[in-house]
Amino acid sequence: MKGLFAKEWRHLFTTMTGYVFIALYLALSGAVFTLTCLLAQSGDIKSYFSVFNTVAVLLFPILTMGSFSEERRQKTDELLLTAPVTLTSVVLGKFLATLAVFLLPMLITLCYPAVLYAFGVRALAATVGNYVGLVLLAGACIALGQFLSLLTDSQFVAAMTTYAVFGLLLLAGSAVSMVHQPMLQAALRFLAIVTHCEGFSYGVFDAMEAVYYLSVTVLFLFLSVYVLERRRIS
Amino acid sequence: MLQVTHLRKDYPTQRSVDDLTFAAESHEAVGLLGPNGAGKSTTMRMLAGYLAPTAGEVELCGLRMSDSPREVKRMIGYLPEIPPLYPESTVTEHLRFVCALRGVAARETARECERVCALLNITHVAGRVIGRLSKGYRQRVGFAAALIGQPRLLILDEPTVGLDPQQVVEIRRLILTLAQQMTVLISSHMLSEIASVCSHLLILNRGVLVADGTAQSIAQGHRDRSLLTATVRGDRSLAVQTLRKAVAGLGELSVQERFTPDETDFLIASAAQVDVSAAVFHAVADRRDALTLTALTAKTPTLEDIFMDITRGAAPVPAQAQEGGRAQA
Repeated sequence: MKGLFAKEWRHLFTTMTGYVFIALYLALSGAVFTLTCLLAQSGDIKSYFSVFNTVAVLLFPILTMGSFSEERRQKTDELLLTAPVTLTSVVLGKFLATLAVFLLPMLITLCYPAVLYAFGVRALAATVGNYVGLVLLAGACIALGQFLSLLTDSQFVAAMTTYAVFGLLLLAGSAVSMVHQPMLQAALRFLAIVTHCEGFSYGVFDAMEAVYYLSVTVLFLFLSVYVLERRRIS
Repeated sequence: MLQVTHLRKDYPTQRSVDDLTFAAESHEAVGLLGPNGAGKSTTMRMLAGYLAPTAGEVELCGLRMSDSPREVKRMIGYLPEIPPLYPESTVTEHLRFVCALRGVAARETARECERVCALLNITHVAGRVIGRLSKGYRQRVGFAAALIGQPRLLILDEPTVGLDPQQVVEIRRLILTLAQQMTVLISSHMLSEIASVCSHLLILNRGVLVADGTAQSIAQGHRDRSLLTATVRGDRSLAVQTLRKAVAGLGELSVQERFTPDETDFLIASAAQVDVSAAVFHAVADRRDALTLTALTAKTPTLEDIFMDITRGAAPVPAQAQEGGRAQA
């Protein structure tokens, strides 16, 4: 899996995808931090994450759209699937490398709480909680995005499908307050992938929400392995 | 060394490979022949572990693919028809990645890359980006990647497609050298290529193995067939119609491709004891107002003729139709 991780990491940077992602991530997160904290003269890091988590969801397809679709288009999946490695390690290698590329700019944004700290705002629990929530959200979105990339051999189709699905998941969060039917409301709340971060934003480790994100991540990693195996059989 | 038993692959609409059984010894070059759509690539993909068979078993050095896929895959080097290469990587980066995939120890990686680069004569392009290499070099890089880890079985799917004649000769020489160290399975629909490097031939037609043996043994099995070539001048469709009527019940007629406007070549296969030449001569003579027989020659079947004879036929049979046929039988 180490070789697959290294190859995927290198691939994300030799194809410029990684650089584009990092540039957009830092530009947008910087803009959100400036607007929500600096210009608003607010020391509350929660206001930054409440906006940026939604923005981040729209950045993940950049990383995931070519993950498996390009392998199929270039026929390099034949190299991976005839190698003496398990399908699980193929899927995990790609997932972990993509997550690592996401963590790179996220670590740079640790300077934002440092700036707030310099201004005398000390909210360690909320800061850690928000970052933990963002990492869990990223894991779930990357696993889902990679699964959607597996279903096509076109990077463009993969990107559009992922944006459509992520868009619906974000809309589900907005629609919760618009419906009054309890069951539908519960379903929308469950689907609203970003709102599950809210518990973490107060600096509280919400085990239920952590399990939600980890379950989504594991489910889509498992589905990716399953689809690869089904493709071998059918 | 390699034992394939009752291998079958069904797709939703058709059966691609049907009850394929053969064995290959170590240190031999085996040629897998067949027309397009015969099931060669599907067979190779199953042997390489890319596709799972619907039924049957692949066994290499006593290990079954279904029981120990990783161990079996470690012993196989596979070069598909389109070499699986990352165009943005350099040759060295790609080969290093394949070393990591195939479990070559980190300290051995550099030496292994140098070894396969030297074998394929690509050392001078090792630092170049694959996407900027010519098709011939890309093919060689794919070949080099298939040799990493010193496989016991090397599977090459149409390895010389798109190469210039000099590269074809080089690759053939390399295959002959490699066949002294490992089992090499090559697929092609080019008889000359297979005949020049392989001692053992397998001929597939519509997913079914129709011949298995050396070129001599396969030819021996077809001595009971006689071949006649006829060239007829005149309207092509009339000529086809006339000869078809003449050989009906005596043999099988096939039209040979030759791009001349007024002449058509025919190949007529029949049982050795049946003489169809008189029937052909009289049939054309009866239509001498429109047709002229310009040549009528008895032919000793070559490997190519046997191949044509064996693989003459149309599209693959749908899986359900085959099942139904068997059920009725």
